Amino acid sequence: MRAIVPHLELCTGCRMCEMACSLHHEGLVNREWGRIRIHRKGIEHYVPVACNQGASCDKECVKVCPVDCIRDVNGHAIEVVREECIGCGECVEACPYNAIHMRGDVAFKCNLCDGDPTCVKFCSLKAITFEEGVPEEFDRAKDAAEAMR
Amino acid sequence: MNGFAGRILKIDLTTGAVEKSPLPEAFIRTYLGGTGFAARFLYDNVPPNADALGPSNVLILAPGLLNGFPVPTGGKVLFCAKSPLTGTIAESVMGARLGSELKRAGYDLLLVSGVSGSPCYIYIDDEDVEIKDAGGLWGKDTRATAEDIRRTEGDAVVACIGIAGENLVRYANIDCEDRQSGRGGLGAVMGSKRLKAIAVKGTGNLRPHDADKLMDLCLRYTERMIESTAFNDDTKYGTGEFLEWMNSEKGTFPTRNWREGVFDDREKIDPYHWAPLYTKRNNACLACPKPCGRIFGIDEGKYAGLRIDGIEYELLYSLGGLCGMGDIEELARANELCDLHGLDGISAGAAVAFAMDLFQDGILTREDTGGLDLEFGDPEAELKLIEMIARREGLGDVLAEGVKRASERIGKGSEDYAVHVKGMEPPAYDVRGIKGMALAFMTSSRGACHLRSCAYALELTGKFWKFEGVDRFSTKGKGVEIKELEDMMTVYDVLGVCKFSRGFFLAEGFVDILRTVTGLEFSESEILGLGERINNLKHMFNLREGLTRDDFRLPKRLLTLPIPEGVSKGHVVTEEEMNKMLDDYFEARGWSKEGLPTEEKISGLDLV
Repeated sequence: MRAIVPHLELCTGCRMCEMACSLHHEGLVNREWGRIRIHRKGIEHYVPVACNQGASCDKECVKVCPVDCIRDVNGHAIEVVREECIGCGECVEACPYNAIHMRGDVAFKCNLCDGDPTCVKFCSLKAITFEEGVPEEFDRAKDAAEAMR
Repeated sequence: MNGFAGRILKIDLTTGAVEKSPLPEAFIRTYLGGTGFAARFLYDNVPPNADALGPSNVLILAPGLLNGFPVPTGGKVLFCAKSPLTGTIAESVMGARLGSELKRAGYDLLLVSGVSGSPCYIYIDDEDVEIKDAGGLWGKDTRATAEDIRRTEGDAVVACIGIAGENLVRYANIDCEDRQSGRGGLGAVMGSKRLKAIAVKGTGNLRPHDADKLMDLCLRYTERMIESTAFNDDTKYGTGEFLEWMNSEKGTFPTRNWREGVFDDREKIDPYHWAPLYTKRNNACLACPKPCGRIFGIDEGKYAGLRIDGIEYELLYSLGGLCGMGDIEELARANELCDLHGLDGISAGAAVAFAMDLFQDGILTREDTGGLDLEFGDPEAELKLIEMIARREGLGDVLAEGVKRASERIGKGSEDYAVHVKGMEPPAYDVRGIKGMALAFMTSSRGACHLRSCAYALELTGKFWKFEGVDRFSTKGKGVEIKELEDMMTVYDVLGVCKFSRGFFLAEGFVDILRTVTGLEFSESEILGLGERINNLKHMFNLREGLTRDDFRLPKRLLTLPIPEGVSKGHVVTEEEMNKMLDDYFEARGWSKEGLPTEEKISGLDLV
């Protein structure tokens, strides 16, 4: 499955992806509504973090969801079906990439904008691309993001 | 209203009072945001002839209207206050997250007045606004300060001053995530209030009027920027990309305190030479898809481990050419010192160059410099003097006042060496060979400045926006030209859009963007009218502070010393040319010969 692949050296920290993501999905801008998020440390490091759609994990979110509301709905991506989510937060805890978030009573995550991710179109220096990723690429981003906490 | 947070936050550091009030409806249509709000609130809140470093000066933080939305390059925010350097309105724009964060916390504007009894910082977390103790932060550099506060406050965006601001260096700046509100001494205003930092965390939503259309517009402009011919060079070499051109093709790169207009050592400081060797990666301002910012890193030698954002064109001039210094690693170190201490690198470099020039002619001696040999091109002397300025030690204490005041104190004819307008040291354009830009230096509301008008681009290429066939050596038509450019560029500072992308939007492009973000209908001419209103208001502030026509003069060096060599050889701005251009400008503005707006002008602009 194709996913949003991070390329750490290229991220400039402009956050266009974050802003465009929440504007596209929610009609407003709020970093806390971004499915993709940029982490920053000091002057030199930025890391884009978004769901890898199982390319580098065991889909822990799907496994732990007690109501099975996280699933592949249309063949593009693993989604949280908002209407069915009971807000237990299990998936947020389980995600090894910290790519699922809670807002109020619902969990939400990247659904690849139905196969045409908005964030990628806004990434001028191609620090995120939409392609088949290899686990190492996601793991590097994960390690870097964790090192920033 | 959509696009706005709807409230103003006022903090009085003397009493500790915090006040939240609604943004006056009437101000929205007439001033919109950014520099518009800042100018209006400065005019209304700072009493005439207030001490710029006293309690009645008001430090204003004003996000651009588009801050927080993914409008490409629309992430600019500005600080504003009465300037301790020029006595005029000072505003300085930077591309930091501070603006969008303040809006998301629920405020379109922050006003800080008074003076704190002891060092403090302001912490804003949505509704929670606190004045906290900064005793442990006083004396720390800008990076350490921000890191310390983030350790306490988590993921806050931090703007702060270094020791230069604490020591009231008149051109101290404000730093936020390695972006700076550089010009006019706003860091000294913070220092005078004993305000070390402002930390903001906001979690609110920013709602546009029409999200779908805004999305389309943002994507279209982003794609246009990515596909533009300048994209490659802008992102690879940054703002210094035209340094060689400014030297060899135009002969207008101010060198050795404006003794020359071409720098013989320019190859060493040209980013085409150093960027491939030192650039680590791109570093964007908020919302910028074509970042000119890049991380410069040194991995070996005495400066191993150095990391700065830059080196910008302006500092390649001020810390490089102007001081006759062509060693790029030493220049990077000088840049780093300015960033860490919180000094405006343009004015700091200019002050050092001024002192070197005086030393060369024997007006300053080793006795005055504390034994320092202030030779042009000597990096050791330059670095030492920057340090002394930030700490206000010895000669540094004099230079910390800016070249105008320093020359008044030094005397002995040193006034002839002090290059400034209204007390502010100019940026990197030798205006003796760019006449329209000379006028722009003269008319800028904050002193010699390239960004109130951005006239250099039109003047040097002959073509921009509605202007064509402009001759940089001629004074013809420059009054109207500078007036129109200033009005348009002011709109960029209202919206918080980068002037490096001015060619993409122009006034025309903002009509749709404004509608989709706010729902407000503005015609192109109304948008430009907004710029005119704000510029008149800034001018009225300056007049109230006692400015007269004399304050619009160029310094003696630019009027009497022709550029000695290169393409612009022999050019100078004569007294006659200066006066003609100024007359034309005042006329274009609808002001009297003395620069006073008529009653009709003021009421016609809704400024009463």
